[in-house]
Amino acid sequence: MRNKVLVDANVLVAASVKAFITEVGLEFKHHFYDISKPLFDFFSNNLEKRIGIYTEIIETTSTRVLSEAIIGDLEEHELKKRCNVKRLFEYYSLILSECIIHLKENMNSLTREPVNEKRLKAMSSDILNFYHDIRSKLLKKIRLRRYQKP
Amino acid sequence: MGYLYLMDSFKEMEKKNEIDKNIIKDINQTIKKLKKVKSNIYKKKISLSNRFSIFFGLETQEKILHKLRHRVSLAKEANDNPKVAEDALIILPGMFLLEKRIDLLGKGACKPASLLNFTTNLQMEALKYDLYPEQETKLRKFDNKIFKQISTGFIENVESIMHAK
Repeated sequence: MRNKVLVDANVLVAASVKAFITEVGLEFKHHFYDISKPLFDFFSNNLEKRIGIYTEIIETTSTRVLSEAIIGDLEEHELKKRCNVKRLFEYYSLILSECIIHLKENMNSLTREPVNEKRLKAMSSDILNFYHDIRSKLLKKIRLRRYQKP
Repeated sequence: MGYLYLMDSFKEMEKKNEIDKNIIKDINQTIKKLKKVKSNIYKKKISLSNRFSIFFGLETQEKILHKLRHRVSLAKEANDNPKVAEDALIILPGMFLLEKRIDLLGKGACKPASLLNFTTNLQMEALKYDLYPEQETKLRKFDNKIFKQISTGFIENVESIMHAK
């Protein structure tokens, strides 16, 4: 198959944020888990076709998001000053480990593609300029419309 | 027993093409040391995020060592000889560095998010080399209410971080 699907960090994270606590039958998952996960199941079932791809930046962004989410949450708990630290750590550790395991599983169904950093830098400045132009044109239009309104 | 000692022992085993089960004793000692440090972390007077990133780093090392011990003990029967030594030699340097990073965090030279990120990367690497347990963690006393609160907060944070990126 010639077609490739570049999976971005949003989809990778959404399909990885899930944990199931067997003892109490409790499950939690990302709001978009159910619609993201089938994509990775499809990649897994068609592994030899190497359809799903990702880059190093996508991988590092995904793991960083999970770590930052935990740190952000802990900072909120710190402000509340009422928590059983041992239990809190156990649960956060469980959540993070489960998500990392799922992330790794999902990444196993993808192929990591090398990226030409020089080309990427050159292209990203073109893309940024393109969006900057659109933004300024839109702002001009909005201002003009406001001016023309009776 | 430190990681450098474990690395030297596994190097020797790799050379001889044979697993020496005596290393289990050294792994057990390292696990015991980690457990002791972990039990003191709850009461340390540093921020919650610092404490958790240290806790998570210690727990990850413990889990990897448990899996390593399991593989070493079954190496002969499972034909895992000397593959387990080769895999250990890939992961142990990362564990040594993680130990150093934990020290750096204690000295204020490393941020908790950075330590957590380093640990998660080590977990991913350990999973790749079958040195991380994949089964779900078992919890003794489970508090549904707190867990739901934590997991909801975590998901909300993930979404807001992704939205901001």
